[in-house]
Amino acid sequence: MTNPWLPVPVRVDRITIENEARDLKTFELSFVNDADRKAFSFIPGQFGFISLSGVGEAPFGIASAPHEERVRYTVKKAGVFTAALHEIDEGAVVGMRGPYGNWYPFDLMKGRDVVIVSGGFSFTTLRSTIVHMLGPELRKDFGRLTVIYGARSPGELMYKDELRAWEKSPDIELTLCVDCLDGECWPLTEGLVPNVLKQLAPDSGNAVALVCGPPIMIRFTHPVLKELGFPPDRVFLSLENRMKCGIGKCGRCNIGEKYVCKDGPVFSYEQLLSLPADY
Amino acid sequence: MSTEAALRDRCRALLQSGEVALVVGYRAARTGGNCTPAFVTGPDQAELLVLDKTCHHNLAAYLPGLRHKGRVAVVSTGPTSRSIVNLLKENQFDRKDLHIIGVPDPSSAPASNVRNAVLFDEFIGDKADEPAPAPDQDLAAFEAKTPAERWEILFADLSNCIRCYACRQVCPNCYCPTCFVDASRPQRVGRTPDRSDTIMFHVMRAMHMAGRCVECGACARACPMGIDLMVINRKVAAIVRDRFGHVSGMSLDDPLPLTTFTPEDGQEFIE
Amino acid sequence: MTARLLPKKDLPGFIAALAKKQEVWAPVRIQSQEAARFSRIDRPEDICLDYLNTKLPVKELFFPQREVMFTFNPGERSSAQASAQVRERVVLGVRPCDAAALELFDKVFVDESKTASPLAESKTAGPLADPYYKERRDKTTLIGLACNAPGQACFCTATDGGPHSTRGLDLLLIDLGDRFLARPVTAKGEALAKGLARAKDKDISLADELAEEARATMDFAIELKQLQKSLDKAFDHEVWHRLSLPCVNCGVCTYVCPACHCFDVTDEEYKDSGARIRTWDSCQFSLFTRHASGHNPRPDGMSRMRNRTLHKFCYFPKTQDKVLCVGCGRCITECPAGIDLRETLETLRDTLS
Repeated sequence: MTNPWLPVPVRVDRITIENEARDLKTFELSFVNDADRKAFSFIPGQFGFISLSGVGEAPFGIASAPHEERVRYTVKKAGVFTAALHEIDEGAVVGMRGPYGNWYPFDLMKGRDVVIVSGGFSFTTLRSTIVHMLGPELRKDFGRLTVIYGARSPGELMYKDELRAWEKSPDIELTLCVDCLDGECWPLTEGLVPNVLKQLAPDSGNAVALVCGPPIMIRFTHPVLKELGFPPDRVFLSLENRMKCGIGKCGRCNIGEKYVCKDGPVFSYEQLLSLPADY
Repeated sequence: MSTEAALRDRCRALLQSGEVALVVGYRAARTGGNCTPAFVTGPDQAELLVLDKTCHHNLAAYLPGLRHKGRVAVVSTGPTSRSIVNLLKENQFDRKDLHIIGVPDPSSAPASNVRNAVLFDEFIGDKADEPAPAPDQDLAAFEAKTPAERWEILFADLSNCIRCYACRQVCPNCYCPTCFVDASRPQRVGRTPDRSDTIMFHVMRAMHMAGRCVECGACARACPMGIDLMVINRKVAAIVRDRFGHVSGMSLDDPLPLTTFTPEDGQEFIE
Repeated sequence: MTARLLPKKDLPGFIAALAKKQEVWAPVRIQSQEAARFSRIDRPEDICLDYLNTKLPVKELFFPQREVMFTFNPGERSSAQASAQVRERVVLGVRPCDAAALELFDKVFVDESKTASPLAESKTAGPLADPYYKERRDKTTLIGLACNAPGQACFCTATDGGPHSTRGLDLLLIDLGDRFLARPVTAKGEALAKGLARAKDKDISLADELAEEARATMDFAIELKQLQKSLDKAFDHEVWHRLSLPCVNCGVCTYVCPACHCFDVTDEEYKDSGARIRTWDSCQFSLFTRHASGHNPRPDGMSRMRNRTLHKFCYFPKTQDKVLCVGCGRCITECPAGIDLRETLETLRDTLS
């Protein structure tokens, strides 16, 4: 029997500071053991635990796409564990376990337009999704790919090199928005994500929407999606709750009878409507 | 009329007139021989209130959670009223939001404690005879032991702790928004029932009780593992009594010994 | 399976024989107290069999309050060595309620169900069984002790159990005065009882009578399926505010509960050793669900008390078809505020129906 509690060793190959506030870092990890690398397969939307023996472990959404060489996570410095992780240097060996949870509904998205709405640093698993969809093999499986990604200020947008490349790509219609332009003007829109979504009004006829962001953004995005004609069973959200195990046992990430770690983190809006507002 | 009946009548009247929005008292539990705190909001529920020997909870523990929720009446025995005195002195409750119904302690709780409410807006029932001051023989026996023996007793007893924090949760003195055992940055105490962590928790908690504990015994009664926490608390209270001449929660006017500096304070720790 | 007889005078010998092949665990009186707790037995005379129930449920032998998940070398952030193995053992004196709770634990810790996508695609993740719990469970044989005199707070008959229930046990002992009737439940239990004399029909009928008598003393009954349905729509009901007022939000009810299984995972690092450990945690603590950002989905006592009740009587039965409660009554006898779960359930039933 495999032991889900044992992290496998991964080397931190590269660390990138993602924002001006310097509290978002991307860690690119490679497996120390070949067998672990071969055993690790995931679908965008899933998450893994990064472990620092002596400090603890914490779950993070996987930000890389399955075909990328290294597994990457973007981590915001917020608590004890993330503060310690931010102190790690390139070349260090840390632990990782996973992947856990479910994923975005690629089967449903096949042959349809995809609208991605995201704000802040929860863009991670959606970056995974976009890179995955833009892969040479897969892009033709989907219709139009519309992405709205917002941050408080231009300096807080993550993955800037990629964003600039996507802006030029014919395969993706990207709108970047910030609450305040701060004097910068590279194709950026000033405005809040829900308002920009409303103006852009992507066609909902044959589309699936993926939403990930802070609770306040999600709250104001729902009415807009509804207005645009997205039915609740074609809107998907990725949720976060405090969790310790990732495998449905420690008992703290539940929303009603669903565990975010095991039955999520991706839920359809239709599912959420039937659950208590306990998140 | 029995004290209990008089209490019900009075609480009914207080709720009817709107003088208070809530009465915190006692009611019988489902199984006999026990009672549970009652939160009475309507005059028709005043019938539920009881006052008998099962009424041992220190109801002052609920006050910090009832701030800004309207005027509250609290059925106060001796120990409960002493805790209320402390909460008021530590600015944890607004006196004008509080109506204290003093009663004689009907429980069989520590006979050494004050039986009648020491602070009240009205007193219901006949005052009980206060116990005559007597030397604390249990404490004397404990003090007569060598330090090694005392540690052994505490170690053995505290090893049973399961860190459920019932002692802390029922204590009116424990109202900190984040308890030191729960703080994570920095983390001072481990979360396991490891003996050193457990002793750390209880010793630090005892220190926080110095000059504040009213010796109501709620912590020891709450402990599911039967740990006699009162050995520690009585010892701490005795030290404060000897050093500062202070008995906790007896008067609104006594200065709090550990937060009030006087030139007479012993300072032998400065060598 | 054949019921057998174990004369009480032969109990020490029976235990000594068991102890030759494996560890023996049984209730032992807690120092200077009335209460008993499961401990490793070295001498049969240490066993205490006159308890209503043990202070802590038998879950602590399968899900210890502090369990090492793995050890690591201090300072090495990726180091992890799986923790030591446990030995074969027999646990004697388990009350039927505690044993029934282990069946519920199995659903949580040995669950091999796969993660499903939001659309229940075919692709799956897993397996998700907990190796530490499973090993302890696999290596343990449970000998139960039937209750002839249930306590005032007991209500196992309302939760699909009974004072003589064999749910979750390998062998059940029933006190017949100067002897025990030994009722094998599994092959493991039958093997343990093999050497004992066969019970006579009158012993078996006496045991059945005692079971009936014990059952008759327990009067609490509630329609749990119906309650589950009402609870499913009661999340926003005002009744939770009322019910949670006396609760002081300590962890007693969760720690003494044979079915509560929530835990925390933390690291301990010393100069020469380090370990990642699992400890009991309680949904009644505010830290339980607080995010690193400070956001807390269950910020107050009301929401935490509501979650515990719903988890036991609505959420768990929805996914596992059983309530997460075995009616042992410990939460009732140990609650510092004197809250009676049966009264809570009755209030919910009467308010929500």
